[in-house]
Amino acid sequence: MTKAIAYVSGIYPYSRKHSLAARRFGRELITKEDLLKTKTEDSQLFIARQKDLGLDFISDGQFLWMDYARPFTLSNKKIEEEILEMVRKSDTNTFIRMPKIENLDDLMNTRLTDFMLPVETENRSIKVYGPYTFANYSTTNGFSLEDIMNSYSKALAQELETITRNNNVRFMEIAEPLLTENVPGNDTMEQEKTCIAQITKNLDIETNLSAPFNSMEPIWEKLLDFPVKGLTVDMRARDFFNVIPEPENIVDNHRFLFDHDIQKTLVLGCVNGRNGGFIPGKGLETPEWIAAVAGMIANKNNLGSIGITFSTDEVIVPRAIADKKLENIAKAKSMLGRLL
Amino acid sequence: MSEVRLLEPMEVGSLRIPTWVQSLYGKSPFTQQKTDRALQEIEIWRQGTGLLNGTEKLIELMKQPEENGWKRETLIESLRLPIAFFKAAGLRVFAPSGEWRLVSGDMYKYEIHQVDGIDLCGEYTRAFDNRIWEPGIIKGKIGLKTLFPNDEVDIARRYMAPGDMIKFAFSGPLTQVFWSLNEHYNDFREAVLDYAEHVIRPNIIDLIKRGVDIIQIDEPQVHQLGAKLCAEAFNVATKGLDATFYIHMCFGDYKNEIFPDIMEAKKCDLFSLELSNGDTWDVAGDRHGYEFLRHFGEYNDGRKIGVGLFDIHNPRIESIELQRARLETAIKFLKDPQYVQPWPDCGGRQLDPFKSYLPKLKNMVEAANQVRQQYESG
Repeated sequence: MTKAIAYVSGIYPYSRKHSLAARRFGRELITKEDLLKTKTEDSQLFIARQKDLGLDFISDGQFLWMDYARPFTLSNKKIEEEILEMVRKSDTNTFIRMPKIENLDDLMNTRLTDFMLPVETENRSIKVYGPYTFANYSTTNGFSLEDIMNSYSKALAQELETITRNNNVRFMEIAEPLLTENVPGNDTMEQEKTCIAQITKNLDIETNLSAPFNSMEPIWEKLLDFPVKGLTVDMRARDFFNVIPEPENIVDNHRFLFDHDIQKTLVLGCVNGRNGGFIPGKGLETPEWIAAVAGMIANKNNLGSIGITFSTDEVIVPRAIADKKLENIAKAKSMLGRLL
Repeated sequence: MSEVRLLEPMEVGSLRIPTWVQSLYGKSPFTQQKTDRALQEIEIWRQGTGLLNGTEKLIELMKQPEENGWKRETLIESLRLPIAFFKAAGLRVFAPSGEWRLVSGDMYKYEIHQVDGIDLCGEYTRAFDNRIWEPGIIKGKIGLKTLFPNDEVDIARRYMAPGDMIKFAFSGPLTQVFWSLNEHYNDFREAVLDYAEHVIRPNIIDLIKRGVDIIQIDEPQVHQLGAKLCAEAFNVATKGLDATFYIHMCFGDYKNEIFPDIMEAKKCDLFSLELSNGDTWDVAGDRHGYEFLRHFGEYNDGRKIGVGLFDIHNPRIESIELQRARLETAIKFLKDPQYVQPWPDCGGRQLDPFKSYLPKLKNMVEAANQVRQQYESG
């Protein structure tokens, strides 16, 4: 029997109160401590909501992460955060600041615990960039892509040991958007696999790898051998605008998922994380639609477990829409449990 | 009629709005606390811009809040301040209000207020760091509810000096549609062209009637969404119209994703580009942030580049020397100063007006003056 799971991981949209506090902080009208208090309160509300919905892994919203590279970027203590070059995340209206690597050893000074909000929860999740994406976003004088990937992986592995021990982290998703935006050659892909192995080898938690914003098809077969327990597929990869497609169409567009046996948890990012609104069937995926998509894929594959989540590595629709979508993800999980 | 000079420095169009101006947009009463705060902030603006005379009426209005029409009258009077700001920077070509407009909102939201088919959702989303914005939801066919409050152009004209020029910036069809959440269209192009034809075009016609000197279309989202479609929408919006048009674009891979396709926007006289964001801060550096300009020379058919000389996501102030080095590099790569205009990377809304944006603008103007003198003195 196929097990169904549902969750959201990574940076989640700010509540209205949190958004306005962030704006006031930017205008120097409130202090960093004031903003942290608001972030913590928002995180507590978000955690409570996820628990109410029965989600399998719980995120603190990663409200202290300005992007997934930032904790590692700030390991270089000499860096002035605001002078770092900015780059657009795929075709979205969100940006990240590019890490500036002056000394590879600096990465070992990263402290992920400093980016975990002081909130209590079991089954905590975390999302991080994978080595390939981090290295590609980095600016450096002289270090090779491989050097940065190796050093980043070592630093991440070190920090994961700490946060799984101290912060109840039980699920990690490695986001690798650049694996599909800028598909690496075979040697680099092998290097990536080795790095992922280094990151996950001592971890007794669930680990997923995602590569959102572009189709995973070109790298799918290779990823099936990667040392992670699950793969998350962005099923709305180039669907940044259109209203919701018919379930049959979206499944048909992902036929590559049926080409090989999948010995991992397959997580379907079928709920658009960067578009949509409030109208069911237009901008808002209904529980029935989500369950229909997941059910069709589960029935065509012999899967041990199937998951449903958002399509993107960061949910970038406003909070009220995101919350509604999350509620429907949770409802769909219940429906899916009955279907499988 | 005024002319754009050689190496005429310009700004992109936005300026951070003080909190008391935001309060003027709101429906809640203007309390004594708001009044006190407003008077303090007005004083900062008076001192910062040097506009020591001419604000008496604004101050009087602010001291005596009323019900009917007071907010609008105060807002109109306050529009002296953004103009004084740009004048203090040494600019003579600038936006009429720097988004300090007669209706509230940033470049996106300001337009959406007047658009049929798109409703603001009342919630925010994050752009970067702790910076947020409010998207709308496309719920029906895009059209124009009412013309934009373009009378701000006429108001601005009253406060400007002879020889000053108005450059009005629209947020472009591609960007406005992409930044909205869609519940209606099945085709992105259809939505974009509806916005171009039914929203932007009527407003351009209105602005031409009002005598605006330069009309700018901002398309920061052209990156990855298609310069061909961007050019097509621009052409729909400007077809048969006689004016000076610019397109501003930021955060793109200009060489591989935007040019030369964007050159199909035939009526566009200038392309404004974000370039300093990717450059070194070292005055003697290799100016790698400006490499694209070498390529632009290969297909330039006589149009200009608005060269981004300073970063708008970073409060650190680029010196005159650094901006001058960047400007000279741009001239070297484009081979002729007539193709170059000094600009910021983007609008100044992200920066503190007086701690950061004004010093950056002043340094840009001075760098431009120094380089222009070289050419004018032969």
